[in-house]
Amino acid sequence: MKTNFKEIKNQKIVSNETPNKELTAKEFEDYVIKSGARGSFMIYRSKNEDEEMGIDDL
Amino acid sequence: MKILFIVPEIRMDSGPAHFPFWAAILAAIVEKKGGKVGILDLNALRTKYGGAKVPTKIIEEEISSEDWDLIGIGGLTTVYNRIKELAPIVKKMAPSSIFLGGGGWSSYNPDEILKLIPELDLICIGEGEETFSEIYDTIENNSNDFENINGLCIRDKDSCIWTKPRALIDDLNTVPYPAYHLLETDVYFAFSSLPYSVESFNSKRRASVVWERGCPRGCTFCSHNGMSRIDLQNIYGEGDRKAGEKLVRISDKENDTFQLPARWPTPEYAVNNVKLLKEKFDVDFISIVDENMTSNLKWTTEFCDLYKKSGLSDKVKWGTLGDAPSVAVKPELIQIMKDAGCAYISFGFESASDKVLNEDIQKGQTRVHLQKTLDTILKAKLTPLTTFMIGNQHENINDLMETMDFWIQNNAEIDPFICTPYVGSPIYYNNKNRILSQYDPKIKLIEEGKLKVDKETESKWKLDALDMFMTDCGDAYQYTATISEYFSIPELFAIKNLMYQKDSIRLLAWAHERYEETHEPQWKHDVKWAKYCNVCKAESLMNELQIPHQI
Repeated sequence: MKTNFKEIKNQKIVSNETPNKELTAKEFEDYVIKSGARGSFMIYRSKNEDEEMGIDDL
Repeated sequence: MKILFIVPEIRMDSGPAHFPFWAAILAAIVEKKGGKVGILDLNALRTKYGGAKVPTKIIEEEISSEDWDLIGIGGLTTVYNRIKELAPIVKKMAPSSIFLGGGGWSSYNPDEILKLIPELDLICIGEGEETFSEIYDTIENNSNDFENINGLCIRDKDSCIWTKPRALIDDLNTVPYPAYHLLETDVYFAFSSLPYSVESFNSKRRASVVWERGCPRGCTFCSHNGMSRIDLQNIYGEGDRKAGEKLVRISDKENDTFQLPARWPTPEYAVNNVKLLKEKFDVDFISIVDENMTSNLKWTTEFCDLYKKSGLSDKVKWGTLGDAPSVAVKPELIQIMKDAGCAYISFGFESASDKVLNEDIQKGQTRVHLQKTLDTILKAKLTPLTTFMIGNQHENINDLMETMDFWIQNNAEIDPFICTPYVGSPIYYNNKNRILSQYDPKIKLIEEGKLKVDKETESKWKLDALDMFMTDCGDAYQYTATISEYFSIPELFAIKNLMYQKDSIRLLAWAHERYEETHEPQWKHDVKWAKYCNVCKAESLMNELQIPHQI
């Protein structure tokens, strides 16, 4: 609990869940393909790569 | 004065994604009044316990560590189940504190919530800033007389008292920024990454903001935490919007205002909020969780212009939500948003059947709007994010095929939600007995006149069924009750999976089987879908070869 009137005791550090490596646009595309859309929003594929997923540099 | 806000755990299948704005805004109000305040954010703290619920012992220790004058608890409908578990803990550890509930989970049926959760003293209906502020002042003046405070439902022995409606805040610039120093920001930053775009995925210090309240659209499956005119009509009319409107008009007149379906603070307020987050926490991405940013062309254009002029567009990228009609009509807005740093926009497409969109969803969008929006997003090279749902009230096999056809035409992979009639939505009010009957079939027998019981027994059964329904409500990937006229929950689950696989062959073969068995019209598909149907293709071949058949 955080308050405006006392110090926090025994604060456990939370492990960082953010991926360390920054993905490129292509790597992000591969990640999305592998993940699929199950339980998530959606994925749109296109036969024309230029139109796909907002990837500028495929 | 000492105030505690408790934030229940939510969406346990993933990490904490968004700040609990309500708690931090109300905490800022307490600080302005010179009070002491704490936020027990169980949704953030669960990460210290392997993602599971925070142990009861820890919660007990935290609550009993101080003498709180008031304890507030809030959230969406999906936290109802957890609040039911937490309420007895709160009452046990702080028996003399005023216990206040508020937020979407309790705003639509506060009288029923007070019966279902006997530990609560008060429910704040809808927007909380002004109502909470007056409660605070009342308690500070050593009074428990809350009946003159608008926007409350107050426990009164075995009954409850509704106070007059609270008018929606006319000027949202008066809402203080959240007390960020009281949030578990380190926990939220540890879960910064969101797989919606490269920028949000790579984010290391993502913050969330919410500025818009309500939405200009009138979608039948939606509600707005009691913060839009439509919500107030439903709340005070108990589902009868015309009756509710009469009360809202009285509230308009008394407060010299007109309460809108959607409200925004100024773009300056919004940009200054992001500047604050950048200066204080060096954030690199902002999730703007407003319900429908693109619906307000003027506001969004001004915001984007100011955001760019402030030098934020390259430093702090952002993502938000929008709707197809606004983008289809003004596609140039998307490039304006992208130029200002927008990395993704999420759209509720819902269905690609014009019949379902018009009759059931009522967002004011058509399939043409969906296609134009999708084309615009792809052209701007933004990530297209869209959600769909099945199990809409009058959706049949042809409507489902319209949606699947849209996915096939656009090479999309989509896992649809199942339409869930959350308490507060028009489809809930319009189908309440049907929903409750799915949890207690006796209610259906009463409706059909086959079972007669006294009113008290009927009310008790309905309340118990409501409790089961609200306990069941999750994030709509799982089933609760359905309002579909045609399909059962098991059928919808099968349809959802076949649609995810875009397996039109099995879906349509099943439709043929079901139609032959039942002759129910919802299973009879149009000739239009024969191109996707192996049964039809086989029939066609037999006809060509002039083979007698019995299909």
